[in-house]
Amino acid sequence: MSAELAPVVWFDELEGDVRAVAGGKCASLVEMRRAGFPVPPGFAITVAAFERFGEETGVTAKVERLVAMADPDSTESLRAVSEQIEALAAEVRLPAGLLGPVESAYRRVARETGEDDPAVAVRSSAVGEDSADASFAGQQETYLWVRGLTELELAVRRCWASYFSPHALSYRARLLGGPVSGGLGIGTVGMSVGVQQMVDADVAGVMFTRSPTTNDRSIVAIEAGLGLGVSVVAGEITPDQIWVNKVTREIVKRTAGDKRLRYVPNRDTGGTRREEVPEDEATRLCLDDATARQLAEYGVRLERHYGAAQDVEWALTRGADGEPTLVLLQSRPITTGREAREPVATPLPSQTDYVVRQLLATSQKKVQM
Amino acid sequence: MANEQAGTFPDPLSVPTPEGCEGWEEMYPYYVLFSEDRAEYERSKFWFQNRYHLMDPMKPFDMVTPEFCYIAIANRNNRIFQLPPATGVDFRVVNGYGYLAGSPVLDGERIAARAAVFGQRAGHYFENWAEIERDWQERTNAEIAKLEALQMPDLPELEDMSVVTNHQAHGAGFEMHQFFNRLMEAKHLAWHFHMEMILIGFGAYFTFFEFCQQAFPEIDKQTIANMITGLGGTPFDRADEELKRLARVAVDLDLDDAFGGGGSAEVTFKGLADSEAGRQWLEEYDKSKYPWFMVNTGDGMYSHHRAWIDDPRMIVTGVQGYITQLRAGKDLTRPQDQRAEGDRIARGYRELLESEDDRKAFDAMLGLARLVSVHIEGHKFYIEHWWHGLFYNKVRDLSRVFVKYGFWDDTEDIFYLHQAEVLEALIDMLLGWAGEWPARGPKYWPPKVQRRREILERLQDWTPPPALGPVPEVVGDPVLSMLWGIDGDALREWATPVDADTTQLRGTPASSGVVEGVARVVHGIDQMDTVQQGEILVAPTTNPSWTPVFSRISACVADGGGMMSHAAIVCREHGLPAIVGTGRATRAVKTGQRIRVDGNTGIVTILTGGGPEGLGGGREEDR
Repeated sequence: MSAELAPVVWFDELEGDVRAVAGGKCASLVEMRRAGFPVPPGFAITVAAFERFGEETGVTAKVERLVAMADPDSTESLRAVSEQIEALAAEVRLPAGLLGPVESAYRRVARETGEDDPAVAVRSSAVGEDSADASFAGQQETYLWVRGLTELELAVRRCWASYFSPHALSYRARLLGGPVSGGLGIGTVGMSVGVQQMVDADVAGVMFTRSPTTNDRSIVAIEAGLGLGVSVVAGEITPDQIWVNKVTREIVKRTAGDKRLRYVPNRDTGGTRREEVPEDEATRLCLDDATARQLAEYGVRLERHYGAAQDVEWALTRGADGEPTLVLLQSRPITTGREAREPVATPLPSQTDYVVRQLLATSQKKVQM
Repeated sequence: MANEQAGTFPDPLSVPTPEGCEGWEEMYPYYVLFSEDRAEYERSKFWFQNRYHLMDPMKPFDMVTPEFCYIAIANRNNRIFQLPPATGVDFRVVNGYGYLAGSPVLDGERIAARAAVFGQRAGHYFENWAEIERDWQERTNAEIAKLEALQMPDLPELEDMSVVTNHQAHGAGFEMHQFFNRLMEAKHLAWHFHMEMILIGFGAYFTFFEFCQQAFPEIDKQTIANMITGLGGTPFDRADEELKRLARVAVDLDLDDAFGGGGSAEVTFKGLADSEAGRQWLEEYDKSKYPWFMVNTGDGMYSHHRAWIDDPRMIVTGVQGYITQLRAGKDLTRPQDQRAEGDRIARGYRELLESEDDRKAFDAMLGLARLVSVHIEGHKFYIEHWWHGLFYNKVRDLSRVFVKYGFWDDTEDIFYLHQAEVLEALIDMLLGWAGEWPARGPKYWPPKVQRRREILERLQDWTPPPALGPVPEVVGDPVLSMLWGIDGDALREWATPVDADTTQLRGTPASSGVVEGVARVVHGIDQMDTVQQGEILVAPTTNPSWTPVFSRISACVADGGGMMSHAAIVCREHGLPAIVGTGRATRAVKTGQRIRVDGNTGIVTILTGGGPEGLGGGREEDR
């Protein structure tokens, strides 16, 4: 990795191959910000920091020894190795040369938000993550409502440790086609961490730029829950479902779900906690039509921007003026494998031929009772 | 209404006769009755009540419509075009109500052979559509002119001397017979003109609909329809524009009171003749009325569907409605951007298609559907309205002669005779006239007419089952789904028994928007005056000649019809939520109940049990 690469870089100042220095998650956030989407600001702790941490603390050598012992075909072995690496990460603190830039970036967040210890979201961002053909979705860590430098520093180390989760180890072994150790060299791939201003979500959820049931391309399907998006992403609740037609912008489906729990910030201790939701609120639609349309509009633009169907995480928060404001937290291509589809109709020489072909198809069509 | 066995409707041969209607079969020709001698065939078919066209019990003479219409459909689709999947629609009458059965072709080889012929013949029409359409219009206008010119002869005491000096073989008796024959031929021919282009036009619509639904499984039918239709400029639009023009004239002449009196249309017209301003308005009315107000109060399927000219209630209602809107400062100009909106939607969907091949197919099919849409939207005016209005009025001319010779008392009584019986009566009358001896008709027909009138009045209160016989495996005929909405969804809904607790009905969402309001159940055109401002119209069917009523309702629910039925088209044009093909809304909903019409989902919800507390305007909820 390039020696000049700074350990901490603001999203809007990342240049060159962002994916290689800040990982897939950060690269995606950066690209969305550049394209004008409402993504909360933040900074990346780059793969250079990951590398320096390992080298300066001697962790790399220990990790490589541990990984070399692992049997990629044994879940038990991978888990044992992973646990030992996690324990290492829990003990070894960031050297001052790395902590300094992290601290000064965090202080800048404090200045911008006007809070002493602003809440941030800390997300792992592996190189190779979020690419269309190899989704690491959910394999790495996210820490929400992290407050204070101490907590931030711990969250960063945990994110790094997640690079060696049993699943990730096994995945990289398969992806790189060799024994675990062969593919492990830190520096060939690596782990960045994204730190973003925390979004205080009243409502959050996911959005697909396809119908989840029929793959219809004219539909944007929104699922919404209360509080942080975790309850929706983890499938812990039945979210509201709102479908928007991309062409007519009409709401074509509104189904109130049962959102009986939500994740809210734990104001005293940091982090989040689960909370029961009163029944009437749980079963009432939590997203109005205008907001759903605006969200769908973002979906259409994201799809156009990336040239592929997108799976988007979003949240509804309150802006400085108290007005509801939509923010986007992530967008990645839908990897359902359903995209490769036969064309609906092969072209025919004349208009009459289309009618004839349809009538022949209809003559076979059974009535479904 | 469904039998206990799933997927089966009542046995067509076992439908009970309502009390007091015994002998109803005697009114109708033998071939439209379900009979034991072809029971196997009757029981093998799925028969559905044609609520879209034949929602009332049919007077015997009105059988001319289905008789000639279904000859024309099968003749065109089967013997001329060889439509691959179906040969036509067969029909029967049960307790006065018309039932239809599709006739799918099931043999694969036969279908393929038909497809080859169809491709060539329908292809000729599709490829030369614009030219044939112009020609069709000229031929139609010529036939209408011929019918206009068809004059009923007198039956004189003594024939003119010219018959002798011209050495003319035939007398007035023959001319009267000839008049009758030409009249009936004109009616028969009208249906062949009707079916010449329309059926394959529906084929083109159907093809585009099916393509869109395959490419976009979630697309609703009204969105597809919006891509095709909305060119405007149909004769029905013209009739509507004339009403608006007359409303503006009335406003300019301060004639609000003349139209707001609440009296009958007849009184209104008489009142207008009494003032200078009123007479000026009547002059303008004379400029508008022909042929545009040959639009009738139904869709020409029945003799009682009178042209607006003859039954000006619709004109008064319409002008009244537009006067109210003008006084409220509303701009009555037609929205011009309807086609632009259709173009925008079509472009949007086109962009979403996955491949260049799909886009090519989309362009070809949409192009064809749009090409045929002008004819599909406009033909009815010429055939069912103008042509039919002239026809029925000339039948009335003939009836007056029967009245003169004592066959019956009222001009309208002729419609209680089947066309074959009218011919019998005519021969009876001509014999009597020629030789000046007593015809039997004056003794024979009055009691029959009286009995038939009683039966038909009673049958009006009978509720025909939506369908009879087994559910078909294959529908096949695109017209059945496009026009009558026959598909699995509809049949499932029809098979659900109606009970007192029914609070939801499902139909085809035909025009978007959600409205809550007070229901007004209207079974026929005679009850149209009862509709109050802001109410939700619930009817067996609607058609564009009810246009004036759409200026006062807030939504529409129909028992019958599909996406391309006129109810659907008119509601989309008027921006009113509409649900068609509910199968049973007129039975499940009562006048005065509050209902919610969700034109996006096709669900009608009955909110209250009715009663006066619910009366009032509709509330627009989500447009």
